[in-house]
Amino acid sequence: MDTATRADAVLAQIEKAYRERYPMFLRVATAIVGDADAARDAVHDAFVRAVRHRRRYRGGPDIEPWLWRIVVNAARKRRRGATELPVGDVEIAAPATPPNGDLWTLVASLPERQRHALFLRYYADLDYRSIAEALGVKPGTVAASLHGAHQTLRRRLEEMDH
Amino acid sequence: MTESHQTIHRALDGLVDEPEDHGDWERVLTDAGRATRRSRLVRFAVAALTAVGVAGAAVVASLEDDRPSGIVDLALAAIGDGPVIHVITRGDWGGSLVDLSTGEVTPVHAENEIWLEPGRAARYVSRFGGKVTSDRVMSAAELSREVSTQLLDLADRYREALRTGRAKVVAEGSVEGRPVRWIRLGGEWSPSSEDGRSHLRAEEVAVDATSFEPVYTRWTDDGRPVPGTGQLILKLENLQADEADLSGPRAPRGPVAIGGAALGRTLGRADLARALDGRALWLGSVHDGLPLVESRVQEFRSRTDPDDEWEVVEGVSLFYGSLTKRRAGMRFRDNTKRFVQVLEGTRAATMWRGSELATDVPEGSLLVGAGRTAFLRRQGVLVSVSSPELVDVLAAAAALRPVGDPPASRGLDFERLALLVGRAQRVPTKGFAAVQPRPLVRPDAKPIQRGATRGVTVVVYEGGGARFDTRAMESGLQRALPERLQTRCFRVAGDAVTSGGYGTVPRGAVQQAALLAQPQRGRIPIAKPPFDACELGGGFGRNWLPRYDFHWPLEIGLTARGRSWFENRAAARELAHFVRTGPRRRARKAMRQGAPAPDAARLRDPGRPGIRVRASGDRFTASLTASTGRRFFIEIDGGRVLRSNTKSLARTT
Repeated sequence: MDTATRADAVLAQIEKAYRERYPMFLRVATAIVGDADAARDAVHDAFVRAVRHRRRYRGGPDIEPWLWRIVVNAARKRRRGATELPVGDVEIAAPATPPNGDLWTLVASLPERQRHALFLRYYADLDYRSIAEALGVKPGTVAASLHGAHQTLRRRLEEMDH
Repeated sequence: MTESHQTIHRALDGLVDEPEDHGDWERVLTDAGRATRRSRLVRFAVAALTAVGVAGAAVVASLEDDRPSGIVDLALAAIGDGPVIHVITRGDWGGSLVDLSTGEVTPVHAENEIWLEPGRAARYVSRFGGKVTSDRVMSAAELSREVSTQLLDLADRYREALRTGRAKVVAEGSVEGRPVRWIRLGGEWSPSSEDGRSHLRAEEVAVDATSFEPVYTRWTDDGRPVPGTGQLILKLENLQADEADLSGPRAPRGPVAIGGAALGRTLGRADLARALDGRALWLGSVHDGLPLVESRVQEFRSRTDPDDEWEVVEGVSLFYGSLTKRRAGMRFRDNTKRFVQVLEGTRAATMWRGSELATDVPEGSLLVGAGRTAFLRRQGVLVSVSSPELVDVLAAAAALRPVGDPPASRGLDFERLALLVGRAQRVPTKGFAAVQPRPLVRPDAKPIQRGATRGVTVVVYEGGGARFDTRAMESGLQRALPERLQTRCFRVAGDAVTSGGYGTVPRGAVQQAALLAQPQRGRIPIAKPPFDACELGGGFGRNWLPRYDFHWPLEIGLTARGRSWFENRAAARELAHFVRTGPRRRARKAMRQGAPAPDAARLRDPGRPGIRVRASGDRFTASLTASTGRRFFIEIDGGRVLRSNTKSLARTT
């Protein structure tokens, strides 16, 4: 397969993932960024980036983990760069506190890796290997992160119930 | 799934709602194309902008008779003279400063300034209300990568349009009262299944009717201006190298601040009166029919190095509105209904976006942004007020008072004030040339394929148009499916499919057309009709298993190959679902902990007699023969999938 044909095939896979899985990408990004509009921008930026760099894709037939990695990175960048953007490029921001404050607080208290693993597991239904690829860690680390997140959340949810 | 997993699952479900948004793939492609062109920007920007600045009169003169001759030569000739580009633009939006005692509204502008010396450096400055909010010197490559270079991109597109003759003078008009000519830079026709027609999205540049300098840019849909996309061009000049002002600070390369916002303990009225050194403000226990339902400490945390201590700014968060019903044992702020949120602090915080702007707001005034958030400062306390309705933002900001003070009337008409604020944020422009949308399926197009299922029909036309009719869809599906359905038609080769394109049609509504297999600029080649099958779907598992997979419940086989593919996919999905649910799921979990495979009899499902199960040692194998005669299998070893032939048709096992 020549480079152009391969790039077209990758583009077709990106489009398919976008068409069929967009709500999941958006949901995970929203969970990471904490703001639906910013998350929408993050997913958009991520896919623009994926399309631009599709010739660099050297992975296997399943392109999704690669896309998830780009989306997660874009969302993280949005979250971190919230105040880095020049005002001229963004509207004056919405309030920093999203709705569902208690649960946000609870989830936000988890370490970043646990949080992201949790979102990818529950909102995107990715298996451990795909989560590992998306987060750039080993599958064992994903298992440990999810276990830690479950333990912490279960304990705190029980505390909140009492 | 264990009970605790289910609890967490429910809690997370309540955290972020399942979106129904399906994105905008066309915009992704458009922006990706733009971004790709941006890499060419540095090479061409000088030429293009010089052409605009120096040869403006020649440009427009040649546009008048649609002959772009001479533009490129002039542009290239200009490169040697003034290598530095200096541009200042002002957005078609910004903010408004509202004097709360008089109701006077003053526009506050957001401006971007770019200095670009290709091969050396670039400087990007942004200002809001005259205050510098960002000033960074970087390489030209960093500039194009890191900040919005819309004007420079425009120059690129402008130049391309001029070169190719796609640019046309389409209308006369004015910008802020200044007579202009509107030049349309080609544009792209995009299909819309909303109305079954193609629409023109195009960028336009206004050039001064006398000097021919570009003064304004905007995007248009079918020739009509798209609100919020306009930008004034305040300055555009070409300077010599030694005239470039590249003296700003270097762009930081180190880590950026990370952190977040979290709600802390609940504040009673007495706590609130003491908060922020006794300077906290509120709107009373009820404001304009909205009760105070949450009053909490608000913490903003940030740090730039993971080894640093958190920098914590403590404030107050008040929420007027309503709470949701209990979900996962908790009630949350309900932002789907009318609400007002107030955030307060004694200093700006990195993670309190926009709060640094509040430090410059004069006491007694209110800074309203393009969003529905406003900032003010009162006795040293910084406050942001947010609400979905601008009129609520204004009324709440005016009503803020120290805890214990009675409400005071300011005598302002907030409805009128909201209108004034909206107007102050827009640059007045006149003139446009409307364009008629084009039908997606031409009236004389010849139908070549027809199919139907469950009350839905499809007709595929020569050339690639397809018309879906969902009006007679079965009532059960009407209830279960979302309002808009994704559609696709495709060709089949083995298990793989080649898509003929995607479309969207409304559920149970009038007949609509989706554009398929139509070659579009920047799009990959796609399969052309005749197709093997079409399908319609949408939604992520509210009504079907698996919960986390996209569903195409309406399958329309147009050929025998297409019908076989659907049969095979159904069997593969059935088998994949089988091995990840019920006793198989529990067994796989135990097997991952070292348990052997249970007896095959315990793994079978009496409700699915077609699925055969064999078990031995650490393994079990499930198999199912599709109606086409093809046998599918999934072999589980130690709880994990060892081998299967379902993966190309069923995603999750």
